[in-house]
Amino acid sequence: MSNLVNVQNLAISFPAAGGGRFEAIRSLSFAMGAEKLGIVGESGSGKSLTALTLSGLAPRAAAITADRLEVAGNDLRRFTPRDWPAYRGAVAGLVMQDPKSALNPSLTIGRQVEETLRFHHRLPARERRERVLAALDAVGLPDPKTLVTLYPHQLSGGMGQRVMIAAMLVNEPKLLIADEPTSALDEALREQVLELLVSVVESRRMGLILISHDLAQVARHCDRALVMYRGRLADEGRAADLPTSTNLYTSTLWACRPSAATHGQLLPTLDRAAIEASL
Amino acid sequence: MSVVDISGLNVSFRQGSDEVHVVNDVSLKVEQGETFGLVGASGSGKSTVLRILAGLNPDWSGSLRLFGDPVQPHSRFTGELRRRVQMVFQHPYGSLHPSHTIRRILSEPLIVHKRPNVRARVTEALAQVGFGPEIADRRPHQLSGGQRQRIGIARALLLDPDLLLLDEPTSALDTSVQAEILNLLTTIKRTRPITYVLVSHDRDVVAHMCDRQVVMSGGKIVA
Repeated sequence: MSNLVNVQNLAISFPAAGGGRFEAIRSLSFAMGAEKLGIVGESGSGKSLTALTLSGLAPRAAAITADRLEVAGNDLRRFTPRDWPAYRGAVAGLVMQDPKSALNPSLTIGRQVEETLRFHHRLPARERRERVLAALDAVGLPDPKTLVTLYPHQLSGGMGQRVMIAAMLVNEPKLLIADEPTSALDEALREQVLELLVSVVESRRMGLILISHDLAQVARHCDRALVMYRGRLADEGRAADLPTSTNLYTSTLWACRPSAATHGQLLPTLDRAAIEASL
Repeated sequence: MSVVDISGLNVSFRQGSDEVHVVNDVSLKVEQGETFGLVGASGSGKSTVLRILAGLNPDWSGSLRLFGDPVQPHSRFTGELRRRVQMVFQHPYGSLHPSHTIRRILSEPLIVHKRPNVRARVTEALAQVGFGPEIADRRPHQLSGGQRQRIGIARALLLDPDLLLLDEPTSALDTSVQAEILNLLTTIKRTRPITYVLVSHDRDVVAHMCDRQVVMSGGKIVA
């Protein structure tokens, strides 16, 4: 198995109002090993749906077809509803956007981080507790012993997101999928949380799929990047090359970001007709 | 004469026996024609200052002058002030009535202020933000986030305000759509004498748009 993730010709459609079908993703193909892959694009480009599909969490109404859809040797196309729970958390972990809505408000932090361990393994209580404390410590949270007794509302957004990452790491999955993991956080915390994600992924030789609307973030932290436009792959390449891409869509997305250097000027905007024509 | 002249502005509330200062001794002036930025993290008090300028938060103390005239705390904005100051909100969906058509949403301020030629002025306002008249019969849920924000801006401009308050106007939007909205705001400013106060947590947006800025933290101006 040379590749961790292998997606070929993925197409996802939804029933549309008026009887037709809305094609949310069209003939998407990509493969990755134990590397950091960024998927960027505007809202509605299909990047989150790709993440959800790899976690078995796409909406039920979605009709999914693919020639290949594999993660760590698992053929996701053949999965029955029973197969998903054993896969999620153990093979692929998902970190969502907002810790406030992803954590259960009525369970302690310790309980929630422990949940994947309880689900996937039969371990003595003491070992479970040690692994939970180690995972919380690994994401840089202070005083894990007190933390496990707290509830989500007692944490800040940055701490909540660290807890989410710890809950995903505790089972050591092969692939971590992070869907806009920092967009609910203040600017100052974003880099910290990303650096943490990157360092745990690298030290455990896991694969990372980072879904983000922020091209600069992906250029800084990922090895490779896919750029999606309206369900299709518009551009792909080394993440560090994003700023110099000659692709019309990628270069406009990069250049349309405001800064002190653009003060008083009009920003470049997307010429959607030209982009559609170039795809 | 400054468009906005705030001095010693305070907002606080009691929590048990403690007094929590949301805005703590803030003083600032915004001059005619400027784009002025209020930057800060969540909870820094920047949106509270903006809401006071909009007349949406009357519980403050200190001194506030708008267009040279003093505004009293614990009072509602009346008369011309309600036309001269307009606001664009962060979430365009939450600020547009979901079951009203765009025409009705845009007609309302004109009807309230007893303006003539409502239909023609709505068409004109739509054209100004890049829409044809046919969009007037749609409802907010049929529009994208960027389109909704353009409707929010069209509504704010309908009464020819002198001061436009922008509360994170692009933070719910894609960067590509943000560029379109920022360009729209820049273009509007080139065609009429208007003053902007822009609240944002995004330093790049503020650096792009603003002539001057202050940074707020913990209710105070820190830079």
